Amino acid sequence: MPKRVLVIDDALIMRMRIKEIALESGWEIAGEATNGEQGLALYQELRPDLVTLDIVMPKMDGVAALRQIRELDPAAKVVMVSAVDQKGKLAECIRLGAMDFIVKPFDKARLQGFFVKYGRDADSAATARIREANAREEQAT
Amino acid sequence: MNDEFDFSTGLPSSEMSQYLQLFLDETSEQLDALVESLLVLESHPTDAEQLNEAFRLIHSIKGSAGMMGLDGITVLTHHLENHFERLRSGLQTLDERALGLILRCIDFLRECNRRLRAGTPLASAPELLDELNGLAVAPEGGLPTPTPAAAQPPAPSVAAVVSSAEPEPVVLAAVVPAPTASTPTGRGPVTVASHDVDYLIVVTFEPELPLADLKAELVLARLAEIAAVRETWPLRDELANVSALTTLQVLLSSDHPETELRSAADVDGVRAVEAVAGAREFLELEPSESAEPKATAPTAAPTAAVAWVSAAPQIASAEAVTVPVADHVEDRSAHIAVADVVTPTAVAEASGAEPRSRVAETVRVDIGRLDRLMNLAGELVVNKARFVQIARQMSPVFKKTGAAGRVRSFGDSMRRALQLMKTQAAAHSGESAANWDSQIQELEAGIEALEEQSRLWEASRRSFTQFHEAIDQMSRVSNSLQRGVLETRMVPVAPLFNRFKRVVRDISLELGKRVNLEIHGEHTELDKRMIDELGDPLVHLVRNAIDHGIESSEVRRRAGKPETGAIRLSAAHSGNNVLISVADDGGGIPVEKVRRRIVERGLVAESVAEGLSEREVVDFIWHPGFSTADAVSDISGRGVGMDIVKTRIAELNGTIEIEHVAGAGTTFTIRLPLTLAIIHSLLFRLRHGVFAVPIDNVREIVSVPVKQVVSIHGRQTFEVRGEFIPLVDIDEIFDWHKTQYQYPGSVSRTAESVGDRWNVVILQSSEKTMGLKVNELQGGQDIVIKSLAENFVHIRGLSGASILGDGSVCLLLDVAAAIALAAGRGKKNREE
Repeated sequence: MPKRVLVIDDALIMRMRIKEIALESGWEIAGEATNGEQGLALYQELRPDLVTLDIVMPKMDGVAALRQIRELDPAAKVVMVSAVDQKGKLAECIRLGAMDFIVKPFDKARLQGFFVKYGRDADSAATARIREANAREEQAT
Repeated sequence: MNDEFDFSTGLPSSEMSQYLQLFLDETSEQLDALVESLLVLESHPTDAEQLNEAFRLIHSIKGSAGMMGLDGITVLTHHLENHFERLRSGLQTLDERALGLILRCIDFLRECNRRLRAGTPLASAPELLDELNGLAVAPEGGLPTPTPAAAQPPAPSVAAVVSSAEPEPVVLAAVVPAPTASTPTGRGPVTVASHDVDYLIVVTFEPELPLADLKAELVLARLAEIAAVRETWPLRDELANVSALTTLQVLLSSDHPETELRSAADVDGVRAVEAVAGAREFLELEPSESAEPKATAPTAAPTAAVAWVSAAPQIASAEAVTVPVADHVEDRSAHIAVADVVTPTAVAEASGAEPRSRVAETVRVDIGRLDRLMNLAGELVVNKARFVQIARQMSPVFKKTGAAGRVRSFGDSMRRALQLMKTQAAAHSGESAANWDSQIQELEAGIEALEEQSRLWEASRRSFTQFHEAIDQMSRVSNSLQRGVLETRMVPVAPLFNRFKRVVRDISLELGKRVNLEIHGEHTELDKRMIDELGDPLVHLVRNAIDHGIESSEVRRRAGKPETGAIRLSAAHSGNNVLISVADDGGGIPVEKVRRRIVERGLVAESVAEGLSEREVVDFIWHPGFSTADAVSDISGRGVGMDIVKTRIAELNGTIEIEHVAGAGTTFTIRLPLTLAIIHSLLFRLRHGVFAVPIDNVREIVSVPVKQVVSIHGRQTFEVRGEFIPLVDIDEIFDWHKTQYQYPGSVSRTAESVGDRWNVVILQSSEKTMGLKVNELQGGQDIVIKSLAENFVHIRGLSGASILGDGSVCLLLDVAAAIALAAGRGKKNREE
């Protein structure tokens, strides 16, 4: 089953670009939002596998949205997509548990690589966990 | 990114060109919103909300431009953003100079958009950048402009290196975040368990990765979730100071499998991750060649290494690490308990504010596509009309209900007659009998055929009823479709109106007048194309109102009016029309001054001017080349505005009227149809064919006795309730009686009187009236207008054509032009 991404960004062009690249990389678009508030509500509704989150947005900025999304779901996987000059806020996002960040403007290959990486990544971690569990069982018996 | 960027090459990268339209649409809206923010900031320069909003808008434009590869725009918006950052942080306040400059930058960005739309290279604006940089020089002695972190000069001072050489606090702080800094959603460190394995993780980043230090922080944070990070190189506190960070080495303990550690370290921008497991004593942690901060002072690396070695023994003590961790974990679980209670309501509020719009997005559609859709919907409506017409023609055949029954009873009586004939025929013999037989057979066959036909007819009658129902259904659907397509073209006038906040501000500043703009009915919707066309005429009207309407504050004070003048821009629906008005509370139109001016300009003779009514004088405002301004100002007064305004409005099938009260103000009211594409019209037949006029131009329809038509100054005129109205024939408008073509049976006039009366449609446009003789009135109908200019040639007096139900073409009269043409021809004819 393809993984689903929620795209939160106030700039239409960013959302279009991220969506396009996600689709090309075999992801599904769970939804999109234009501000943090809307994004948070959609996160709760859609429970996507991944969120791409802009920082500077109206109503509720990315930092606040990240905090609330992580409060709602401590396992939420959120990737910050931000300009290079938001470094202070990015650092805060890392503290708040953002799983990664991508610097705007990004080129296509980077985001593509990213989606491929995380499309696979969770899988391999899951397989690893299963393998580990199996090993423990074997030891027990 | 730097200041000497070459603007001239700023076209979007080819990969992104498909997004250009979106970029232009979105940034245009953002620029409009930015201007609005700025106008609020002009009066409240420290309004935090507006400063944030402006910052956000600029940031967003910068981001989009960056994606598009429009480096010129990116550089400019970057500098603008920097300035807003200073304003936001309170280091500087928005002054008049900065505001003016920012507005000029916005103009420049609009110009960039215009050029991008036109596909021409972007202009350069080095002076704007220089001026923006000039703003940065604050009285406080110059603030550093926030430069991208990657470009940040490294070179940690010796002092910093020395202080980081203090063993304990540095490394401990790196491993265990202070409890106060963490939140329930933040990353929690993992306690070290006895069966943990030690690993050395070596992370290699892509060369020249932006914010590599943050990536390193990210890797450490992610690792800290599943491992106890013991040591790092470079030291965590120094990450930001290392230029060209390419390698991060981490010594950690974890009970998670190696694959998980690898994937935790493998974030975006990481080229390779190596993990080596083993006892700590065997793991060497040394600065690798590539990670050496080459650009920094050569002493930095060795010093750090020394610090590292001296720090190691301190960390090895397990208690030192676990104690604060346990505290922290307790602290964390308490937070989570609270969060569980709070979260649902917080989220409910959030989702309530923005109702569950999955993708709360409007679709941007090329208006050309909407035009095509509109055209197709129009064709459908025309086709529907044809169906209705055909059904109407068929209906007399099927409406006679008793017909089938009559055929049946006719058949029955014929059969009875035949029976009689057969008995009679039996009496005959020989040749005569054969004759009878063949006659009878022929009649029987005839009766059968008749009955068969009657059955078919009966079946068709039922089908016809169904056909009627189907047409009704189709009418409803096609009407809804047409309405739907129309609605997609409707947009609120708000963006157009909001542009005027800036216009009014600029003009009033320039003229030194104090003017407030009031906006009403900005939610009124109008055809998008119409809104696009309305901008210029409205700007003319508003300029005119400020320049000529609003008096100087001194004059206003003497007249007992508030010193600040008011311009009111409003929109409202009125039936099938939208009314847009520009009103000022100025001095009204100086009628006597206008009267003098039209004589001076030689527009009319003095004797004539004296006899003109006030309204007739005011109408000269629309005359090309008329201007009452005493001095030709930069803004208006060149006398090229008002006649153009009128022409442009007329092109939109609209009208414009002036109302003014001396000393109290002037109101210009523009009346526009809801859309250009469909016009509710009155149809009438002339000998040439069917014509239509917009119903809004029809004042009344009268029947005029031929005897009551009198000639005044050589023009046919008739009287309605004491008012004399010129009576014209369509030929007088278009000069058709002079053409070679003769209509079959036509005499000199194309319209005919019915008995001893004329059917006359009284047409009206901007308070000018004219009676048009028509042959036959056909009623009102919505017609879909096709441009004559696009499909044939433009003909003055006709504003378009439409296809009627019977497939014939109907011409739509442009009433204003037709009245003018008729008046002109009448004059010429009299002169001849």
